[in-house]
Amino acid sequence: MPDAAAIVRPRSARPSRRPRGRQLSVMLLTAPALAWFAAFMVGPLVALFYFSLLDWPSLLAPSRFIGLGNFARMIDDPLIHQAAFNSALQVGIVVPTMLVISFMLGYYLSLMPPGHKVMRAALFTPVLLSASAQAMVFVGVFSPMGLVNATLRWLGLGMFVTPWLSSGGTAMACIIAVGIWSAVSLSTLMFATRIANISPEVMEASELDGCGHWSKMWRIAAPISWEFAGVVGMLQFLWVLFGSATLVLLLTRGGPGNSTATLAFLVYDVSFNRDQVGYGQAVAVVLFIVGVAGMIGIRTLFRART
Amino acid sequence: MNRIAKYASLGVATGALLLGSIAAASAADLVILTSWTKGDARRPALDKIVEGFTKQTGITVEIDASSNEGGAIASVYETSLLAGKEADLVLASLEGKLLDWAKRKAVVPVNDFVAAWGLDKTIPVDAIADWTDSDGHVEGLPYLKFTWPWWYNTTLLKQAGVNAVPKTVDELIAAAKALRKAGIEPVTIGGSDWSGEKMMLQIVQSYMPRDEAKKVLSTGGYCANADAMKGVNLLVRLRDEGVFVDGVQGLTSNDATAAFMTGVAAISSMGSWSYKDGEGIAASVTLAGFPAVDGGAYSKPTYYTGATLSGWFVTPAGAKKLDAIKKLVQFVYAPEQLGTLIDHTGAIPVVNVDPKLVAQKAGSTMMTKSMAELPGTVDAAVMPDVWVPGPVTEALYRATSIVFTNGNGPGKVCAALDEAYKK
Repeated sequence: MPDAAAIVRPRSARPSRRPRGRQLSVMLLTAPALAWFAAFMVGPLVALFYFSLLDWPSLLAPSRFIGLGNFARMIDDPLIHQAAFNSALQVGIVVPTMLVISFMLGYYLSLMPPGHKVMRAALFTPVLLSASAQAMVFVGVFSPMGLVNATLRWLGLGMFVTPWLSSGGTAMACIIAVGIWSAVSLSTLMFATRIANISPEVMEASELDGCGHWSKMWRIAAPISWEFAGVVGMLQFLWVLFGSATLVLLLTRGGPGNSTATLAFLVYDVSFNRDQVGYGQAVAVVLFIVGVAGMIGIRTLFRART
Repeated sequence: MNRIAKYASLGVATGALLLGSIAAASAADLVILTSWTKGDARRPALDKIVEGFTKQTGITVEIDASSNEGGAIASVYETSLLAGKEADLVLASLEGKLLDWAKRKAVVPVNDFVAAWGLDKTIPVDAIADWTDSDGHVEGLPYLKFTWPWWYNTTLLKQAGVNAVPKTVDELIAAAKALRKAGIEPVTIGGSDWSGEKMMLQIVQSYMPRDEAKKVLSTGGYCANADAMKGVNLLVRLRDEGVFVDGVQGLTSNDATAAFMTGVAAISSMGSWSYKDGEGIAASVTLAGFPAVDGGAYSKPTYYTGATLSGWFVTPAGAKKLDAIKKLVQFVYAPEQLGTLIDHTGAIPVVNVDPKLVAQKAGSTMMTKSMAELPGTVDAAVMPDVWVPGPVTEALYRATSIVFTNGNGPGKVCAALDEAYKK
C-alpha cells in the first residue's frame, strides 16, 4: 500500500501542472460556443431591456429614450391588465391541471397496461404536430360548423351551439383547453419514465402493506416524483406563459376584442400590429420578470416539500 | 492537433459557406417582392409578363413572394429594408402599414415618375388620388382595381318568395326573414375577420357624408359622432332582426364565401377577386349594393371600389436602378401585358381599358355582370383600407366579432370600435 502522503498533490503545485497551451486550446475550442451564446442569447436580452426604455413606434421610425415611461404607462393600461389577467388565468389553470392529469396518466402508463405502446404513440402526437397544424385541428373543432357544435346538435343540445372561438365568454376557455391538451402529452411521457424508474422493491413493499393503486400513486409515487414534478411544472409554466402567443395568434388573434390577449401575445401585437415597438419590448421585460419569478416560486414550492 | 485543425477548418469552411449564402445578393438585375404567391391566380400571368420583359430587354428579374396574411409582406419588406437587402420593387395592396411607407421613407414617392414615365395619360387621376397620402406623396403606381359589391342569389330569394333584390333596409330585413323561413341562410360574411370589418364599416357609414366618414375612419370617435351612431344603430338593428346568419361573429371570409358559392346562404359581400369562383352560380347572381337608407349619405345602394388592390412601390434600392425600373413599369402597363394579366385571372387594371374587352378577356360571366349591373346603380362608399391607420387595422378586425355578436348594444359596439383606435 503506497503512502497516502506521497500521492497527495501539494495545492501550490496545481496551477503549474495545467499547461498554458492546453488552457488556450480549451478556450479556443469553446470560443465559438461562447461567442454564439453572447451574440444570440445575451445580446438580444440586453437589447430587449434597452429597447423597453425607448419610445419607438416601428422598426422604420426613429426612437427616443424615455426611461421608464413605458413601464409607467402599463400601470394604467387596461389592455395590459386584461392580458395579465388572461395570462394568470391560463397558467393558473393549465399548469396544475396538466400536472395532475399527466401524473395520473404517467402512473397508468408505467404499469404497462395492454395497448400502452399505442397510447404512448397517441400521446406523442401533439409533440409531432406543428403549432399551425394544431391550430388547424382546433379551428375545425371549435368553428361554428365544427366538431363541438356538431356533437351538441347530434345530442339535441342545439341551444348550447356557439362560435366558441369568437365569443367573449368561451374563447379564453378554448385557449386554455387546447393548452392543457398540448401540455399533457409530453408531460405524461416524462412522468411515466420517472415513475417506471422507482425501485420495484419500494412498490412491492407498499403492496405487501396493502396499498392499492390509488395509494401507491399518491402516497408512494407522488412523493418520490415530487421534485421531478417541479421540473415538469417549471417547463410547462414557461411554455404556457411564453408559448401562448402562437396559440392565441393562430386561434383567435387576441379577439374577440382583446378578450384572449395574453402578455406573450401582446409583445407581438403591440410591437408589430400596433406599431409600438418600445412598449412591446417593455411588455416583454415584464413577461421575462414574471417568468423568472414564477420559476423561482415553483422551484421553492417543490423543493420545500421534498 | 491535426484532428483539431481538421475540425476547425471544416467549421470555418461551413461558416464561410453559410455567411456567403446569406450575404449573397440576388444575381438578377431587378428583384420584385409581391404578395402574389404561387397560389394566386394572377401569379402565372406575372411570371409570363416578366419572362417576356427579360426576353425583350435582357434585364433579368427575380420574383420573391410573401403572403399578405396578417400583414406579413409589410414585416418581410421592412425587415429586409433595415438589413439593406430590400427588393427593388414591391407589388402589393395599399393597406395597413403600407399606407405610411412613403412617410417613413420606406419607399420612394413616385410623384415625379408618373408623368416622366408617360403614365399620366394611362393611369386615371382618381386612381392616383387613392394612392396619395396626407402629405401629398404618391406612394406607388396603381396597377389593379377592384369592385366589391353585394351578391344576391336570386334563385334562392325566389325560393323564399322574394322576387326582387332588396332596395331598402326594410326589404332586406323582410327578405332575411323569408329566407330563414324557407330554411335558407340570409346574409353571410366573415364576422371575425377583414371581410366582416368591411361590411360593418360599410353599414356604419350609411349616414356619414364622405368627408365625415374619412375623418371617423382615420381617427375613431364613433360613439361621439351622431351620424356614426345612426349607422351603428342600423347595424345593431339588422343583426338583431336576424339579417346575418347565426353565429356570424365566428365565421371567416372563407366560410362565408363557401356558404354563398354552395347555395347555403343567399346574400354576401365579396370582391371582384371572387368573380372567378362565382362562375358556377353566375346565372343566379345579381350584383348590387347595401340598400340606401332614408336620410342617409347615399341615394343609391353602396358598394366599394378602389384602385388599391395592387400597385408598384419603388424602394430605395430600386431608386438606384430607375432606368431598368422605368423599362419594366412601361412594359407591364402596355396593353399586351395587361391583356395577359386579365386573361382568366379576374384582375381589373386601373388603366382605361374598354370594359367589354376586360370582360371578354377575363372569360368571366361575373365580370361581364359587374360591368353591366354596377355602373349607375350603386354609389361607392368610403373604402376603409385607405383611411384606417395601419396600427388600428388588426384591432378593428378583432372588434368585428363583438359588433356581430347578439346582445351587444350600440354603446358596446361603438366602444369596441373606439377601443381599436386607442394608442
